[in-house]
Amino acid sequence: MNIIVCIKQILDPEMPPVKFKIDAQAKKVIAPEGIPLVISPFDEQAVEAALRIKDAQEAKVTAITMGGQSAKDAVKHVLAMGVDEGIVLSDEAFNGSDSFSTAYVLSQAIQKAGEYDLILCGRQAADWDAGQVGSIVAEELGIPVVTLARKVDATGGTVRVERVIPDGHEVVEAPLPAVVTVSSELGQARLPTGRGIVMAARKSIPVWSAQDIGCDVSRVGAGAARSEVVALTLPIHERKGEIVSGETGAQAAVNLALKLRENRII
Amino acid sequence: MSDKFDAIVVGAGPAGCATACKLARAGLEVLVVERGKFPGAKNMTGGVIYGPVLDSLFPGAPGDIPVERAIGRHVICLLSDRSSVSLDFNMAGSGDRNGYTVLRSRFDRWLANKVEEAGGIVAAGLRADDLLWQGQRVVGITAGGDEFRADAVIAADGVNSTMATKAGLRVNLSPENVNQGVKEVIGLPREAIEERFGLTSDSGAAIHFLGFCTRGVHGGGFLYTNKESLSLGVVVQLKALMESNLKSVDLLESFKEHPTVREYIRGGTTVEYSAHLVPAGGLRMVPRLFTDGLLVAGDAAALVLATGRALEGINFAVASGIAAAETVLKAKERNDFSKESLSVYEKLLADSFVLQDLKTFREAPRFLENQRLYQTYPELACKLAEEVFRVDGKPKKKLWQLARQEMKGRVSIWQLLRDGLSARSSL
Amino acid sequence: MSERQGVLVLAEAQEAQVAPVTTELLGLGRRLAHELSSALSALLIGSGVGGISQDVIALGADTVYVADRPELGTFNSDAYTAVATKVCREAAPSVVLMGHTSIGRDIAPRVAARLGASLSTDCVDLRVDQDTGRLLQTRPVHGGNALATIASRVHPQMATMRPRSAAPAEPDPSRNGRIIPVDTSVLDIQARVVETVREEAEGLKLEEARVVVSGGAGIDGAQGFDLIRQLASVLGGAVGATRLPCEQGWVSPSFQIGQTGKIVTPDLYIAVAVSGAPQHMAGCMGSGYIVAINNDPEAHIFKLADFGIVADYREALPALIRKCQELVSS
Ligand SMILES: Cc1cc2nc3c(=O)[nH]c(=O)nc-3n(C[C@H](O)[C@H](O)[C@H](O)COP(=O)(O)OP(=O)(O)OC[C@H]3O[C@@H](n4cnc5c(N)ncnc54)[C@H](O)[C@@H]3O)c2cc1C
Ligand SMILES: Cc1cc2nc3c(=O)[nH]c(=O)nc-3n(C[C@H](O)[C@H](O)[C@H](O)COP(=O)(O)OP(=O)(O)OC[C@H]3O[C@@H](n4cnc5c(N)ncnc54)[C@H](O)[C@@H]3O)c2cc1C
Ligand SMILES: Nc1ncnc2c1ncn2[C@@H]1O[C@H](COP(=O)(O)O)[C@@H](O)[C@H]1O
Repeated sequence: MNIIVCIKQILDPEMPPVKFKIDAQAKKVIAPEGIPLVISPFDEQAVEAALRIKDAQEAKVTAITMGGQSAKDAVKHVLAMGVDEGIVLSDEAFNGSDSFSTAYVLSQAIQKAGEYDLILCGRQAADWDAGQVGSIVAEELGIPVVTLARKVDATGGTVRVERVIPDGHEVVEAPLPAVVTVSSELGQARLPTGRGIVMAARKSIPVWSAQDIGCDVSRVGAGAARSEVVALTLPIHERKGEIVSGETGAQAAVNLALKLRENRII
Repeated sequence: MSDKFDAIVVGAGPAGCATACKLARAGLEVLVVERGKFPGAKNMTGGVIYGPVLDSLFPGAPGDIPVERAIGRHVICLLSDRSSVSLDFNMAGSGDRNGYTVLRSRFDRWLANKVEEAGGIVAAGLRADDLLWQGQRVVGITAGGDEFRADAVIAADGVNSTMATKAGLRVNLSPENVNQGVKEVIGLPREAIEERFGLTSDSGAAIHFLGFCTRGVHGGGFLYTNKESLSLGVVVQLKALMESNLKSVDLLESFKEHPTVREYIRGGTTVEYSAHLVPAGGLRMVPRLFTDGLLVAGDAAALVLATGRALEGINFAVASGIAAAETVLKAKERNDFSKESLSVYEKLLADSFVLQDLKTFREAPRFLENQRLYQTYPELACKLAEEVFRVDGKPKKKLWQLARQEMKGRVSIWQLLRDGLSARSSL
Repeated sequence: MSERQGVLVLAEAQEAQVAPVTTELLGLGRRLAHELSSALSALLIGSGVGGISQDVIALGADTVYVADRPELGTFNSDAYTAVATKVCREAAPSVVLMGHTSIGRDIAPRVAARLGASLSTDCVDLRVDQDTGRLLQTRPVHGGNALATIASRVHPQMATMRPRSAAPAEPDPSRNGRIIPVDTSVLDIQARVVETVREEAEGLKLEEARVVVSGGAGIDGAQGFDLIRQLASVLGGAVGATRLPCEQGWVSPSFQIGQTGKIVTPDLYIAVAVSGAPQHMAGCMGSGYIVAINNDPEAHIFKLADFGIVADYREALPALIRKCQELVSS
C-alpha cells in the first residue's frame, strides 16, 4: 500500500497570543523571532494515521510538503516518526499560491511520486484554517474524499473511515485510491525515537521545482490566486475585564455572584 | 543501519560543529546530536567572534559565513547612574577588522550545514541522556531511548555539560564560577545603526560597559551592532547576583534606561530575549579534559576567557573543537582511543592560545571579585570627567586635586594603588 | 462572469425543520441580494424535505431548488457535491453561501473546485463592496489571532459562514416564491456511509443553552467537572469544555467548544480554569457576558472577559454555587 501524506509547516498556532503580530500595511503576519515553525498539528496526526496503517500491514509512507527553505525540517521530523520518504516542493513560482493552486501543485507531485492508494491530509492547516486543500486534491485527481477522520483503516482496496459529526460519528467506506482528511480526534501523534531521528538525519530529501513536476505555471502563484486579501487586522475585544476582588477566593466568588445579580445577568 | 560511528559529538554549538566538521572532512563517520529543535534554536551569545579562528576551517572567512558586521570599533564605557566616560578605539577607517558579530540561530545553523556538507550527520531534536560504558571506557551515548556507539565521544554540550559530569570529569557548577547573561536583540533600521555608531555599511561596533549597568553587582554590560539589530545584555556573576537580591532581568531593564544606552536603542523593538550561563572561573575551573573514549570541548570544559572587558568563548570553543578533532584523527591512526592516546588533546591546547591565555589571565577571576570595579571606579571616573569638563565661572583646580576631592570617602590612595598593582599582575 | 446573478444559499434541514444556521444564512443572503439588487435562491437537499420549502420561502428565498430523493436522506459527500454543482451551474449565482457545518465545510471546496469558484471558509462577516460590487469576506485566521478580509477575483464567490455569526431571518408566511425540482438522476456516489453512531448528549443541548459553564485543563481530572456540572445546573445551563478535558476523556468529545468544536452564544459564558487561547474563544466570543475564573492573575482570558475573579476554582466554585442558588431561588 502506498500512502502519501501532505504536511504543511506553519507558525506555531499555540504560541502565546501576545507574541502574535501583524503588518497591517503589508497584510502579512510577522513571524516572531525565536519561535520555531511547526508542522500543522492535524497534519502530524495525518502522519500518525498513516503510520498506524503501516504498523498493521506492508505500506510505504511518503510525506510531501510545499514550502520554503525550512520545509526540510518538517520532513525530517516526520521521517523521524517513521515515514519512509519525504519530498519538498519549492519554487519561487509557488509563492502566493491559494488553496486551489496548492492542491494543483500537490496533485502534480503526487502523480510524479508514483503509484498511490491513499492520500492523507490534515482537516485544515492551522495557520489560515481554510480546510480546502485535501478535498481539492481529490477533485484534481478525480478520486473520492472523506473529511474529518478520527480513525482510518485501509485494506483490500477500500478505506474505512470514522468521520466526526457533531453528535457522534459515521462510518464511511470509499474505494481506493482516495483522499482522507484527519481531525484532532484521531489522537496524539507519536514522538520520534532516537534511532528514527538519526535515520532521518541520514536521508536525503529531494527538492522538486515547478518544472520537475510538470506544473503549468499559469495555474500557480499569486497571479493565479482566485482571491486576494484586502485587509488584515487584529480582532477588537470590547469587554471591560473587571476583576471582582475578595479577601479569599470564596469571598471573591460571592462578590461575583452579587455582581452578576446586580447586572441582571443571573 | 549500523549504530556504530567513528565519533559522536554531543552538542551542535561552535565547539561541536568545529569538531564534527573537521572529522567529517577527514572522512570519518560522525554523528552530532543536538537537543534543540534545530542547531542554534535555544543558544545565545553576546555576539562577537574574536580573532581569525574560523579561517583555519573556512579559508577566506568570512566568505559565506552569516556574519552581521565586522568589528572596527571597540569602546570601553564606564557608567555612573547618569553619565559615562568612554575609551574609544576606532580602526574602522583603516579598514582593519578584529572579529565579527553573529546571531546564533543563523550562525549555528550555518555551521551545522557545513558539517552536513562534509558528510557528517546532524540529528537535531535529540538529547543525549547518558554515556555508554564498557568497563572504564566510554563507548557511546544513549539518546531518545536508543544506544549509539562510537570510538570517541566529544562532549561539546555547553556550560552545564551533562556528559562531562556523568564521566566524572567535573563537578556541578558553583555560583562563584559561573556568570549569568541576559540579552535582548533590539531591531533597528540599518541607517539608524550606522548613524548612531558612526559606521559604514559592513563595519560594526562593540561596546563594553562597567558600572551602573550591573548596579554594583560583579559583572558588566555589552552592546554589539548587527546588520539590523543591536545585541544588548548584561553578564553578572551568579553568586553576586544571588547575594544582591536583584534579578538579571531588572538589571537589563535599568541598563536600558541609562541615558547613554537609551540614546543608542531609541525607537528599537525587542525581537528576542534570552538568558544563559557562561563559565567564569578561568583556569581554576577547567576540568580534566579527557578520559578513555571521551574528550571535552568548549564551554563544557569551561574554556572561556573573562577579563572583565570582553567575553571570549566562541573562539575558544572553535579552537578546542579543532584540537579535539585532531586528537581523534591521531587516535584513529593508531586505533587507540585510550586516555594515554587522547592526552595529545591537552598538549595541543597547551600549545595554543586556549590554555595559554587562560594561564596568562589565571588571576583575573580573583581580581574581578573586587567590588570597587563595579561601582566606585566607574562613578569616580564619571565624577572626575564632570569636574574636568565643567566650566562654571569658579576658579579651576588641578586634576590631582579634583581626583583627591572625589576619592574622599570612596576609596583610599592605598586601596587605589593596591588595585592598580593587582590589575597589572592579573590582566 | 457578468451573466452570473443572485445569491444562492445551501439550506440544511434538521429534524424536519429549517436548521438554525440556514435561517441565519437566509437573513444574510437577503441582505446581500438586496445590496446586489438581485434575487435570493436556496437549494434544499434531502429526503422528504419538500414540506419545508415553503418555510425557506417564508424566510426570504425567492426560488427554492429541491433535490428530494431517498438516497439523499443522510449526507453523502459525493451526491451532495454533484447536486450542488449541477444547481450552481444552472442557476448561475454570483454568490454561493453555505453554513460552516459538517455538510458545508465538506462539500464547499469540492463544488468550488468543479465550478472554478473562489471560496472563503468559516466567515464571520460578509459585505458587498459598494464600489466594485465584490463580496468582502471576513474570516478569522491563525486560530482567531487575526481577521482577514478577502475579495474574489472570479465568480461565483463562495463562502461558508460560521454558525451564529449572522442574525437569523424573521419568517414572513405571506411571501411567495418558486419551487423548482432538481433532476437527481446522476449522483456519482463512490463513498458511502455504512453506519451512523450517535452519542447521547446528557442534559441540555449546548447550542441552545442560555448559560454555559466550561471547564478547562486547569480542572485537572474528571472529578473536578462535578463542580462545573453543579454550577451549570444551578444556573439552568449546559456544560462545555476546552479541548484537553475532551481529549483526556474527563468529558465527552461533544462538549468541546471552539474553532474545532461547537460554537455557542449563550447570554452568560462562565470559563473556569481556561487560559483563553484564541482557538477556544472562537467558540464563545459571541456570548452575551463572559466570566472568567482563573488562579493566574496574568491569564489571557481576563482580557477577554467582562468579569473575572482570581481564585482557585476548588475554593471559588462551592461558594459561587451556594450564593447563586440563594440568589436564583430568591
Ligand atoms: C551573555 C553572553 C555573552 C557572550 N558573549 C560572547 C561574545 O561576545 N563572544 C564570545 O566569543 N563568546 C561569548 N560568550 C560565550 C560563548 O557564547 C560560549 O563560550 C560559546 O557559545 C561556547 O560554545 P559551545 O559550543 O562550547 O557551547 P554552546 O554554544 O552552549 O553549545 C552547546 C550545545 O549543546 C547542546 N546540548 C547541551 N546538552 C545537550 C545534550 N545533552 N544532548 C544534545 N545536545 C546538547 C546545546 O543545545 C547547544 O546547542 C557569551 C556568553 C553569554 C552567555
Ligand atoms: C488548530 C487548533 C485548533 C484548536 N481547537 C480548539 C478548540 O476547538 N477548542 C479548544 O478549547 N481548544 C482548541 N485548541 C487548543 C487551544 O489552542 C488551547 O491549547 C486550549 O484551548 C487550552 O485549553 P485550556 O485553556 O483549558 O488549557 P491551558 O491553556 O492549559 O489553561 C489552563 C488554565 O487553567 C488555570 N488553572 C490551573 N489550575 C487552576 C485552578 N486550580 N483554579 C483556577 N484556574 C486554574 C491556569 O492558570 C490556566 O490559565 C486548538 C488548537 C489548535 C492548534
Ligand atoms: N503547502 C502545503 N504543503 C503540503 N500540504 C499542504 C499544504 N497546504 C495545505 N496542505 C494540506 O492540506 C490540508 C488542508 O490545508 P488548508 O486547506 O490550507 O487548510 C493541510 O492540513 C495539509 O494536509
